[in-house]
Amino acid sequence: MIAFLVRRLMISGVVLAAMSILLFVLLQVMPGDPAEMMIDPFSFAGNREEAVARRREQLGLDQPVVVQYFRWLGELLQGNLGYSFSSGRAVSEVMTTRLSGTIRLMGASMLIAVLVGIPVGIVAALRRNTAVDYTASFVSLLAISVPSFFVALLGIYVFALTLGWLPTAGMNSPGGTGLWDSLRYLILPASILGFALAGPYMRYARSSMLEVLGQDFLVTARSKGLSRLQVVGRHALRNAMIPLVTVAAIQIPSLFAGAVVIEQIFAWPGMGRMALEAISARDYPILLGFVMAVAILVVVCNLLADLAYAIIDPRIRIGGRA
Amino acid sequence: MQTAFLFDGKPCSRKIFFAISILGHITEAEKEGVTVRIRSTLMSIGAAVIVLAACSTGDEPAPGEPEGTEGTAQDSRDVSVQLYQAPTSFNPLIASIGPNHLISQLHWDGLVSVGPDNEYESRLAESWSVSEDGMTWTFDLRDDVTWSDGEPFTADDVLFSFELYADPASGSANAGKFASVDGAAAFADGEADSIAGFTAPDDHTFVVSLTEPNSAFLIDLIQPILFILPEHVVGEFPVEELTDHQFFREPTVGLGPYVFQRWVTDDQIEFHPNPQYRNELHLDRVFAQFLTTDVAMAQLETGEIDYAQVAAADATRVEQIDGVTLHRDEGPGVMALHTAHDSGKLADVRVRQAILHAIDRDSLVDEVLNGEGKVVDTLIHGPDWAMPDDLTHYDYDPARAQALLDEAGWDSETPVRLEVTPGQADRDTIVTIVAGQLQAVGIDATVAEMESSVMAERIGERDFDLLISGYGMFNIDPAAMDARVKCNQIGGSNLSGYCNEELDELLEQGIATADQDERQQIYAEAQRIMNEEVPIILLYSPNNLAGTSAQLQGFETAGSVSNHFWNAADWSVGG
Repeated sequence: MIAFLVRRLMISGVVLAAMSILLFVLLQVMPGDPAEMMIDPFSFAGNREEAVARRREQLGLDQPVVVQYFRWLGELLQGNLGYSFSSGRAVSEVMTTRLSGTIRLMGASMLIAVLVGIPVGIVAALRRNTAVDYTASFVSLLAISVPSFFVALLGIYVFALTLGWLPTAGMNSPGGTGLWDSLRYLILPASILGFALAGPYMRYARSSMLEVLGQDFLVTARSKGLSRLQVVGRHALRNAMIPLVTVAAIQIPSLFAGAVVIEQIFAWPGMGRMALEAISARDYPILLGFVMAVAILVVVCNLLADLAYAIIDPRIRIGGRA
Repeated sequence: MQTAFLFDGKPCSRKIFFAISILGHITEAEKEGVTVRIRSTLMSIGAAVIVLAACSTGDEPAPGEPEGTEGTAQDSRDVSVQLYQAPTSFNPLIASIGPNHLISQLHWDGLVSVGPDNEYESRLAESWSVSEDGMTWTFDLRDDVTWSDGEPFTADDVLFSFELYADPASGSANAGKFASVDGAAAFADGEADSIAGFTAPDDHTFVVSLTEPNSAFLIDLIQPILFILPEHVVGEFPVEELTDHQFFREPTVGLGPYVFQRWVTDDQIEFHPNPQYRNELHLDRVFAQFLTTDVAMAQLETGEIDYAQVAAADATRVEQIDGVTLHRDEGPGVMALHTAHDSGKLADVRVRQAILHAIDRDSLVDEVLNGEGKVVDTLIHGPDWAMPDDLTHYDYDPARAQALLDEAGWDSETPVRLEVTPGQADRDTIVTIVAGQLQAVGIDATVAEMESSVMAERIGERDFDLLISGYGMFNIDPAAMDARVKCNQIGGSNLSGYCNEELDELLEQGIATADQDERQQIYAEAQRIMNEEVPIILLYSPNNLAGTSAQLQGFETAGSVSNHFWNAADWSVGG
């Protein structure tokens, strides 16, 4: 198990290093020079060329790419992610504040998706080919196929503009503190993001449950005289959860992608919006930090999925030891 | 209700304690069967999330600060304003975006600003005068001004700030404006430690000596461009490090009516009244927040925000919202097409005139701007005395356009790109319409997207045919056009690279002349040349629009959209 973990961690390290090199190259190829952008030709009065050169030097952009890369890597190993080109703030600081926003949104959405998607999927499997099943399948198809920005705009129109129950956008009312304030702002974006994710969860839960329900050991359990609740709750559900854990973990990065759209529409100060702003401003340090964070997230989620697998299913653990 | 404790703003640790005790209560009461176990698990997850949400709402409010404002917004004296881009810094030295000007206007103060009638307004400078030869400007400063930390504001702060603005090493985007200040050249070459032309003879007088007369010197000083910085704080920092200095992210000292308090989130800032402000203030807090236009319009409608910049397309809608006031002013800027004159493609003046005749500018204003603007024929469109009444109006006349093109021997095979930075609804629409209208008269025009990230480079490389852009303050003093068309501004703000010696001479005379009647003659002639030569293809001047809620009283537009907070000291709540 430990050898397995060490090997996985080492592979992850190589993947991340390769990723960072690729990113550096891509940023160089990307059109647009941050120093040129910062000295706006429409409002700058003075020797612009000199100013651009000075800025480039300040940002270290006058160095060859290789030097820039190793400087960045050296700083990174010391725990310094660099400083934002546009605001001058430490990237780590910007990312931490933004991350808390994204985690709040993603956590709530994930919770909604799991609490809605999985039970509905299980019920649909148990009531296979009934009206309940069909309705659930239809709704999940809707959740998967209707783009979330559309649902979001619809949600804003109905709940915020027409009914006036919820705020239109933002993470909190100006100066507002307290739980109710944050919850009010969280409900709409989290439900919409959660709804989109509940679709696939429901489908996976349904198919996984159906597969388990058809297996021999359930027939045995039933013939032993166990109650339906015990058969489903103890034997079927547990086995059906195994593939679901992987799906849930692997969906987290795609949840991230969905969050970018939702954050943009709801003016939610999270990582997604930060990344979009960084791209348009050619804020390389922020962009590097963001992509590396996503890369780490993907790697970690996959690792966690493997570990969770081993915990839920003892067979895998034994197999790993052998 | 048991959960009411969660909403009372008690410290986080207390909430967690309460949540845990409630959970314990639930599980103890119902310890039977599978369903109950599932339910209690769900409840514990739910409770954990609720507590986490309550605990992650940012900083705990400091003692004595108002909290839990939800539901009491109407009674509070808080105002929430929109910023149309994310603000990044309070640094007035660097070339900056509009939202930074707006937040700086709350936090800092300047010598002079623009008032509602497009006239200079007194701010830190109580009055000013210029010597007869136009070479010496004297500013009498207010003596009742104190920095928010209690330090007195003096002429030394002004002197210090102007030296920073004139010093390219500070990252100043305005150093070029002070080239004619006595001693600026010696300072730039490192021959002097300070600029001889800036002096502070006493605590409340600041004097600028120039090497050549400049009757329009004030236009370079007006807010929101040149704010005064505190020497006792900023003077401690190395000049080279000012561009990215943390102080400008979280300034601890201010001079404006509402000073920076904290970044609530990355794109929301809280301002508190400046305890030392010279007048009585009427608000408890001001929140400034980045919101896209769509969100801002919705929030203006629901009353979540009190001020938003309004796009021309939304003006009619905003006007119809109950309780919302639409403020409408003639705008100071222009929307125009720029060509690289030195690239030669549109070098023939007849081609540029033909382009103006080929575009139906009146319809652009009506259709794209909803009528919120006016067609202009020269850059300058105010003040009235500077406007000659005999300018040629290029009306929509495709036949005339074709005739002019024939005369110029225009080759209809020559491709002409209409460069636009995508994502701005008005410009996207305009270039599409203009491309069609140019094609109709035989110009092979196509829309070419130019990302904002490469625009500066492409301008530098002189690689553009008809680049659309909007900017400027052209209704205060006619000398404002110098930056856009004078030969010595090529490579800088004269994007088109236009150079006309006759025009240059007139502009030199105009700025050196103090007498308004004489200036009127000179600028009339200068504008006739601009009108005839069409160095910049002017489309229109858009209106300056803002929407405010009934809650916000005393708001008034003046100058440009970046100047909307100029009279924040007069704001109050009501309605």
